[in-house]
Amino acid sequence: MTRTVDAGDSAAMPVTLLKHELRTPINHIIGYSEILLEDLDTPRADRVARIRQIARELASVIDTVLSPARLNGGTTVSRESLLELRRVVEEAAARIRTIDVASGRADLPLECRSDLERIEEATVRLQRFAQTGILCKSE
Amino acid sequence: MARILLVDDDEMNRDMLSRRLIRKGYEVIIAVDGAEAVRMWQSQAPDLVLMDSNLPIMSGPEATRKIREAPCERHLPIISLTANAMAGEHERAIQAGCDDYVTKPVDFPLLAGKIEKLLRQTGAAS
Repeated sequence: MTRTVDAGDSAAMPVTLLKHELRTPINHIIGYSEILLEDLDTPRADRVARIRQIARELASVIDTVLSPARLNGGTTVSRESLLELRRVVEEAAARIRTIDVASGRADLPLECRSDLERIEEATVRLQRFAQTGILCKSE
Repeated sequence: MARILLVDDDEMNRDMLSRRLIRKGYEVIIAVDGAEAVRMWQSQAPDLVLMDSNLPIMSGPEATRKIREAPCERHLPIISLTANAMAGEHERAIQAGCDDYVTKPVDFPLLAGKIEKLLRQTGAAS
């Protein structure tokens, strides 16, 4: 069963604050990495892109570990926003490399309404599947 | 050149966003809490506001409501910056009168697109 956990839920509140405290510095790493990416030549930019990617994955881990779904059981928080699907897929393709998405990309709409973090989680799982052959189910 | 009022209590967030907005050619003015945002809006007449939701003294939604309550000649676009830690934050921002929202960490190309679109709608594009 899926429902949205309101911030007013007393059990969710301390976790929300802890998550915020952990996410804020990671968001700073992601943000400054992106500023550097705009300035750097390709070889250096590739390394900074790795820093950004690792920070994003760490943020995703924090979200998963500290999700009300995991702590309370049976609940999932979905946060929809407008996404540039082509960019999400391009970044996922860069991350996965072993999965060829280029052929279907031209048909994708530029924007869709979905939860970016859930899509990123899915691509991380696909990456692990490509590397290990083990497909982890969603939380 | 459009003038953007950036409201955030986090110094690094202000630094990151203002650098990138200035590179895009915008003039950026800063407020660090909701009350200062309202004062800056009255005295500096920005073309668009980027409003963090979780602010000291006066929250983002409260400051947005204050701005929306005042009579004005033309619509002021307000984009909420939400930390996404709390469920319902986006809804509170929109209910308070924000035109749109982006989630932190800010996807800058996405935010830049929303800024350009809203400024075009109000005729204040740079």
